[in-house]
Amino acid sequence: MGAPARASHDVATPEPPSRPELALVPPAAAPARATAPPTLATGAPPRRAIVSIRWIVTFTSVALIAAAVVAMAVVSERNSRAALTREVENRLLLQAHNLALAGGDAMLSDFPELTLHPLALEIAAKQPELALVEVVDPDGKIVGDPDARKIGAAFALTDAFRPRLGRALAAGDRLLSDGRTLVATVPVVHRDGRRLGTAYVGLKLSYLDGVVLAARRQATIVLLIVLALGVLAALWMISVVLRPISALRAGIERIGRGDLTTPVTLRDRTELGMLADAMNGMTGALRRAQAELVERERLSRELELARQIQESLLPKQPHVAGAFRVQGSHRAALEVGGDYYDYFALPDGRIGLAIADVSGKGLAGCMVMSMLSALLRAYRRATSSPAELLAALDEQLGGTLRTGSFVTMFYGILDPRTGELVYASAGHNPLLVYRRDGGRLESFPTRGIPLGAMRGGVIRRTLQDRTLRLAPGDLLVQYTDGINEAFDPEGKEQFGVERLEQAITSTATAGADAVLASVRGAVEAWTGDSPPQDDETLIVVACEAAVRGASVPDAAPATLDPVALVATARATGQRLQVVADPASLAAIGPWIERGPLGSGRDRNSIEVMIVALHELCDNALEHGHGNAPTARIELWCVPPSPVATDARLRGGWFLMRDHGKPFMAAGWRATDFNDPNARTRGRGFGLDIIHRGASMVSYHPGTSEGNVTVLTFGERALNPNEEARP
Amino acid sequence: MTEPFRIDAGPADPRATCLRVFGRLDSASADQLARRCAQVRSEGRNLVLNLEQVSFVASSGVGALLAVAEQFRDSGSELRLAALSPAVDSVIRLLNLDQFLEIQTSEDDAFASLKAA
Repeated sequence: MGAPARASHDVATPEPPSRPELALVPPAAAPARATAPPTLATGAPPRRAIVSIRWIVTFTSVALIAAAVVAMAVVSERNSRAALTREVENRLLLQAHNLALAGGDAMLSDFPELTLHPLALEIAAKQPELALVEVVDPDGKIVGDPDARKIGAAFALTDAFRPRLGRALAAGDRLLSDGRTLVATVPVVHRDGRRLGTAYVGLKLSYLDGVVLAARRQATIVLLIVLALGVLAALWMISVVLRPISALRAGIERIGRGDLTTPVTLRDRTELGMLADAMNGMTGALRRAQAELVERERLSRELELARQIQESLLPKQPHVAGAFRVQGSHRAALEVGGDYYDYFALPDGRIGLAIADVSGKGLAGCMVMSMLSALLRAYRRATSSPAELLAALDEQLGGTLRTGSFVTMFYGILDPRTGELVYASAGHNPLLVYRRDGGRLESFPTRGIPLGAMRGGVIRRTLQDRTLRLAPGDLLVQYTDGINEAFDPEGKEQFGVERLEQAITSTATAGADAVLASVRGAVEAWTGDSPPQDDETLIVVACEAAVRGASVPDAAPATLDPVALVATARATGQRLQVVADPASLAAIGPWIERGPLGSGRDRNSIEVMIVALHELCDNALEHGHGNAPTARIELWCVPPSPVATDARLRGGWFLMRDHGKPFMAAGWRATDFNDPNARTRGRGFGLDIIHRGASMVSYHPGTSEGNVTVLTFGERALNPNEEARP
Repeated sequence: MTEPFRIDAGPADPRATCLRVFGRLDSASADQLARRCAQVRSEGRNLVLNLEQVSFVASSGVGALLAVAEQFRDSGSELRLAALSPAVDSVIRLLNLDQFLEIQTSEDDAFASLKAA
């Protein structure tokens, strides 16, 4: 299981079937419709202080309009004031000229004031804004004025009056101003050119300001009207612009609430219309993604269920029977896979071993696997032939499997009493067997075609039962191709059978647990962090080495080399062939008596040797060969040799060699004769005789020379009375 | 080459039936012996087994003797093994079975150890 990636399940240490990496759906992606508005609306968003675009645009436009109008007004006022001043000046000059023209004739009369006064009066009356209308004679006396009382009075402009600059005037004309009053002076000239006096026409400059002020007031009114219109126009325009935006906003809020079905309808040919179209496209995609997510969640929930079913079909505990320990390991691929394995006790005490790999993964593979498991449960008691069983499974599965899918399967039946394994394989990987004797790994390929590969019972012609024997210390490994086809993280190279074999060989002597751990460790190291692509399944059957210690006296430490001892016996010993016949067994006594170990010993110890070897041969004939008339057992008697490498062998030794089912010393217990039931039973004392009689018994089953047993008889056998009573 | 297995009747005696065993006491002959002993026991007689001429005894033979002894003990009759041959003696001593069997050195001693029936 490990972090994401890996969940693995070891039957030895069952773990809860939790698969964190399979958490079906990330919580954030919970189905939107089911749990109301998700992320977008979870928790009311803080109500933000809104500054409406409407007002921003309105104020901006008003400010711009106002600034433009004011600028315009300022410029135009300046222009109009200049124009007004010029116009006023011209009028003053004109008046002054008129006065001077009229005054020219009047000045020649005796009483010029009589003409000039009404004239001045008339001018002043017509133009009340004029502050000054005077005609002054060359002496500086007033001769014409609207006010008759001033006539004759002296008149002079104060020094404060300065000529106005910047104007081209006719000769003699002057424009003067003291800052408050503007005065135009024109000389009164006779037709003959004589100067008769001066005409003054003056105007308060404040009049000018009044005129300008009036113009300004007018401009202000215009400004305000324009502004008002501008504001209205801006507001109207903004409303027009904002209408689609609020439609968009409403649409977004709908999406936020989880409504992905109502599109945003917006007839707008601006960019906002494009935005609405994009939004509708987005909600469509979102809707499809959401539906997909819901579907995927449903599927992965079902896959998780399937995986749980698959796990529940696998054995949870190692199986121990006699000297045998069966243990499996299964590491599931990320996707639910189709590997299956099981082991179970059969009614006759044998152990059934099954491992299968269903082609194809996912639900289909898982269902086939479940079916396989059920079929196996139904058939496993019906036949003791693995080939038969596989053929029966093929018949049942054949009709169900889709064309092109198949199942490779290994099935074996192990007898824990003899170590004999009968097996057949339907296209499964070769069986690997580690032999302690020689420390090598043997591979047993088979010819069967996979289950469901061909119809019509073709498989029966390819399947056959095979037999092999497991001796103490031997170890059997069967696996699925998830192991040897595991790729390295680059996906370039497979783990391969060679590495698998190394992993097995390096730890084979340490037992099933160690081998499982070693293989799994090696595969995980090979694949690195990448999750398994295929189920990785492994079954290990270990035959624990011969039981030593209390129950079997003086069982030899496994240092003898049985093959070499067979060679020594052939070179230096004497042979007796024993067959399953009482007469043949009866020949053991005379053979011992006449042999190299028959002399120099007392009668009792010779009798002990005879009965011990008799029991040994009898056992081998009965249990190893079923008393078959063709069975041949070899006994060798090797004379004492002071140079024997093993001190235990220097006094001479016996060797028995046969090719029957190997004898399992493991599990044997010495008989307790104090138990009346044991005495009444009256049988099964053969091993007691062998182990009490011999000073050393060393079993070497399944060597290249067959099953080899080595016995020595030392001092202890000579004095059996000295043995402590049980 | 060796003497074939057989069981002869010993001398008639009121105290016990006497059987003399000859030859190899292996699995086949052990059954034969056991049946013969069972027959004696069913008659309610004590039994003296003379094993002097037993040339070999296998584990099955020893087992038969042990089983017969138990059956006699259960039924209240007496069983005596008399004059053990070296082969029988060796195996009985090897397995420390003399504590479960009544062994006498001769047929006469065996009879003598039995009270008159």
